[in-house]
Amino acid sequence: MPYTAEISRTNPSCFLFLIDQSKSMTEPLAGTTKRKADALSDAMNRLLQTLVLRCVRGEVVLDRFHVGVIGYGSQVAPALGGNLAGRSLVPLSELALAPLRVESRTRKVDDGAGGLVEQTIKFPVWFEPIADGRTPMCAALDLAWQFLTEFLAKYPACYPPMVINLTDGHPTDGNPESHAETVAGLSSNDGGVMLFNVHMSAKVERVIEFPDKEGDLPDDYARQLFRMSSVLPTVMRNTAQREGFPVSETTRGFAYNADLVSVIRFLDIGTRVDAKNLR
Amino acid sequence: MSSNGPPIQYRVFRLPKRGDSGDCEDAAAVDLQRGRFAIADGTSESSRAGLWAQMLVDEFVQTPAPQPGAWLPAVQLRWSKEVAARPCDIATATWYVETRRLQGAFATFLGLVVEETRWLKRKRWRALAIGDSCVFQVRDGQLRKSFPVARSEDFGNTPDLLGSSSDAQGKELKKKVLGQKGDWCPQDRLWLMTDALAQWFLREHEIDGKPWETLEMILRAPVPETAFIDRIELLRNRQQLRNDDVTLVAVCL
Repeated sequence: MPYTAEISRTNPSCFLFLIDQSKSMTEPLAGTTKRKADALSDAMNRLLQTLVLRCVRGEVVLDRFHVGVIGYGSQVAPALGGNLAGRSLVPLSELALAPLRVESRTRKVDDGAGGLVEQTIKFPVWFEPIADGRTPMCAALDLAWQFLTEFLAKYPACYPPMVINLTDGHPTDGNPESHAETVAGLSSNDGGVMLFNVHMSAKVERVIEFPDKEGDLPDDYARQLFRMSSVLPTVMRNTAQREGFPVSETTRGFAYNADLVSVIRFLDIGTRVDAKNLR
Repeated sequence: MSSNGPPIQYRVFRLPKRGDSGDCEDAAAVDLQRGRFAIADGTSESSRAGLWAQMLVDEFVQTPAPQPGAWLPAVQLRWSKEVAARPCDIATATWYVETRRLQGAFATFLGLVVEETRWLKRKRWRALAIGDSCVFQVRDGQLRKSFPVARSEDFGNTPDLLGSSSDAQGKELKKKVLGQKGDWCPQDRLWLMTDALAQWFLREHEIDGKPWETLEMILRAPVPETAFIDRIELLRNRQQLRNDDVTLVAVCL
């Protein structure tokens, strides 16, 4: 049965994020004044923080996952910086120890006696917003294929890697569909690589999240991204259902015209694994 | 508790999950005088969860009123003074250790009160649960009560939890606490167990098995602790039991 492999330090899985860094990412995200590039880097930093925290045991970060970020815009390259610059997939413990910087932010919390106290929390930043150049999505998918091929050669029995592509526009370097098929065609002994796509919009339009039918989609590009997106495995489908999405066995990991809330929600659902698989 | 019959006996068994640091983040506590039994299962994703689980069960078996609303704030206060406020070298503490410390610890919880009122000659038990730690009542070779989970498929990945920070609790506590009660007779067994073993127990029962007979064999073994470990390892090898911390409390009435 697919998607049942143990996820452990000896048999890790991986998350690979493809981030559109093209010029159009300077536009504000639908319904906000925030630039898409800023909103996305904030969401990514939060997500990387969450992924690390999910694997902290005592004072140790368990390398259950390796994480990579590919940026595509003026160039197509690994997008983590600082000590991680140029690295493809990084074990979670290394990621945890090498943010670009750790900011201190304050928030108000319940003091347990009916009042509020200010609490300082640490906010690690790995990822800076970049928005420059065109949208070479095909090349980004090819680089993802290369990173994943190397990872799968090393961990052939791993829980299948999860790839999330976040973009705001059409690729400028060709038709991405066959490139996406090549990525999603990779597999471990436990099942196929999952490729999910999130399309972000500058306009306030109807957000489409986790669709299950191509025919319901508004235009050719949406239908193409739908075809490029994998069907959700059970654990993600269940999480999506708990979040209130109507799901079926053909629900795919795809969002169209996503606003900030849907991007964050998608990243949460699209990185879920069953706790039963974790060691 | 007062009782004219033979004394209630109990046994506690615990075994950590395989392949980890060897720390068990489950906890159990018993106060026979008060007829109190408790188990808790600390979530390994939270900070010092085993200690939090132990503080919860210790408080429950000693406190006069069993409802969590009555004793949880005191444990949370103790946690914030003794554990969360521990000096932490901010300069060297990694951001994730610091964040985890602020988030606190989380655990599922099951508390059991076994009572006998002399004047009414009634033998009663009451249980309360947050999350998926379970109690099963077995009488005359039959499963009489299963609480709070009734079917093996109902064990999920996100059970309700008790948090060490009052902030994490909010006003949700009342919604999370489930209660159950029943009568008991001498010779009954009340089996308290954390989720992995409870899921095995229910699955066996659903296919017409009698999992309590397996547990009885452990109690009757020359060295029950060893028999428990052997059985758990066997079930794990056969993939009938999820690799997780396991706690079992046998209450022999």
